[in-house]
Amino acid sequence: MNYFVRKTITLIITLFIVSLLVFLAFQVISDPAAAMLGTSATPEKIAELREQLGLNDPLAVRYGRWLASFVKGDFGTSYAYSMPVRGMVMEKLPLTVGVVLLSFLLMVALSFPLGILCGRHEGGVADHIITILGQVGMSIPAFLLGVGLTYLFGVFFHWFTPGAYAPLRNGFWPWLGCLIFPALAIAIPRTAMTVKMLRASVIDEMGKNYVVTSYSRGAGNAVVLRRHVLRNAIIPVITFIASSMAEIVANCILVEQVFALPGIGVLLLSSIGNRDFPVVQTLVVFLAVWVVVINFIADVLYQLVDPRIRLG
Amino acid sequence: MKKFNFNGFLWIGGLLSAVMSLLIVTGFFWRPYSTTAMNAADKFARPSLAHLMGCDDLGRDIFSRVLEGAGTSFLIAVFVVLIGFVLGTVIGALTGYFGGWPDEVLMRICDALTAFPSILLAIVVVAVVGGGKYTITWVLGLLFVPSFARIVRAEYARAREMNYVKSARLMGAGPFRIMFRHILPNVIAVMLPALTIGFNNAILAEASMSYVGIGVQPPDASLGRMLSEAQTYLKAAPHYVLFVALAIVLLILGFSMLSEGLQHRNR
Repeated sequence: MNYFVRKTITLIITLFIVSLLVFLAFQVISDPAAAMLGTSATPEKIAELREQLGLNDPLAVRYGRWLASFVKGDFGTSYAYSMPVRGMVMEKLPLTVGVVLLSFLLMVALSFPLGILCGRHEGGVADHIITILGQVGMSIPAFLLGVGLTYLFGVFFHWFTPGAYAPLRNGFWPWLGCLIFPALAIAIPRTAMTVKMLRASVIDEMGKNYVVTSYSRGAGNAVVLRRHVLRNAIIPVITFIASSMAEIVANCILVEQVFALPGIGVLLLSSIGNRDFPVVQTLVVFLAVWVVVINFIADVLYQLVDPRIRLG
Repeated sequence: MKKFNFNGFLWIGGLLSAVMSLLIVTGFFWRPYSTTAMNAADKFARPSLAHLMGCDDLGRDIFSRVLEGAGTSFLIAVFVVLIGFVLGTVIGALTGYFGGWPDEVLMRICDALTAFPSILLAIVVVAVVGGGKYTITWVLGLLFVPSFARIVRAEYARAREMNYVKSARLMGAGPFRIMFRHILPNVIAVMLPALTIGFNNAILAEASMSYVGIGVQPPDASLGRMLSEAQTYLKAAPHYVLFVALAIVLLILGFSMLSEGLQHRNR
């Protein structure tokens, strides 16, 4: 279990560094006092507010204070709306989490059967069609696909009303209905990439000697595929799927904008526009922690699937 | 393992990229209409011989505007790749050739940075320093450095032990001469697919950021900004969105296929 202990320590150090970087970026490089006062800032007012906010204390003290309140769940107060950032973020979080999870499920559910199918029947008709579709799918960025889906299913088929959103408190199913097209827009390009990787991985494994051996021992196609090939073929794909979790979140920020979904992404972008640093800073910490944790989980999973690997 | 000699990706991708680049470069010098000339009578005009892609909400010729927007996106992408490539090559060459602790440290930083989606990092930097076309150019350029540095570093670390490098060293060539006169020409072939895919990512990143309003700002046109404008008129003028989207997709598709083809050729 030495490996997990070491990984966990690395995780904690990484989170510490991330928090320090975010603190430096938002509290030191950009002056909170000047940002709070905005256009009404005068040097005297700024100096007064700096004193009031404790911005003249040593950096280490300020960092400690900031980190302590952040961990306790106090994310500060929004400049633009004068309300606690915590409430603003928590209100938007379920939607974004929903879209991200749904995209991930769609990606996995679509890419595994397709990737295995292509890998098993390399050079077949299905393989050619899927490879070409995949190449096109990869070239359409998620937000663009979102615009396309809005036109096709929103404007043309009237399956949903573009720009409309049913909050979670009005029922789970209508809410989920609003998420399905954004999730598809995010999932499709990612699916195309995963299919390509899985296909290459399956083809690679199918050509190895142990496959010939198991066939010669009389094992059927299904057994060879499930018991031998897939177990090995999946290893390189795992890291990719994990990094997809980070990419999905990044794309979600863009795609929320396309479908006008009031999630984290829209909040982040509008707060950047408003120079509302407490909100931006909180969201950046959330996003960074997410990416770091996802990578941690990927490393651990990687090791579980393939015990030969002992990454530093 | 080569089944057929015709490298479809390379040729189709190359042709597509060449046609798109040619159109864009032409657009720098000549466009069928002025991009600011408005004409109320042509509001949302459908594509016709006079207006190949129709007209927008103010009666401006969409084809001319797409040329202008694609030009901005293209220039930004060129500079992003240039910044990433030059800095990445220098850093990768130095760390790969000399090794040691600076190599360790820089590669760790690269690993950490590449764990984050570049759009996410770009959004964070823009949040701190503000948007605009010059900012996103250097921000994206710097964010592209790690991916180039990593590829170059691996090649240099390998080349360091090769016989031609050893003989050059025996002949008394200095480290910098070896790095840039001897090794560099040998790694360019490996860099080409990375360059094209980098260009592809740069177009994509610029389009995404301008689309959500933190990239290129008005009055400059860019494909991303045009897409978000066009989306408002999705119902009234679907052709507006279609042509802007098509320009983005064809640019990305062309360069991604070219990169794929170049990779196949290297194998």
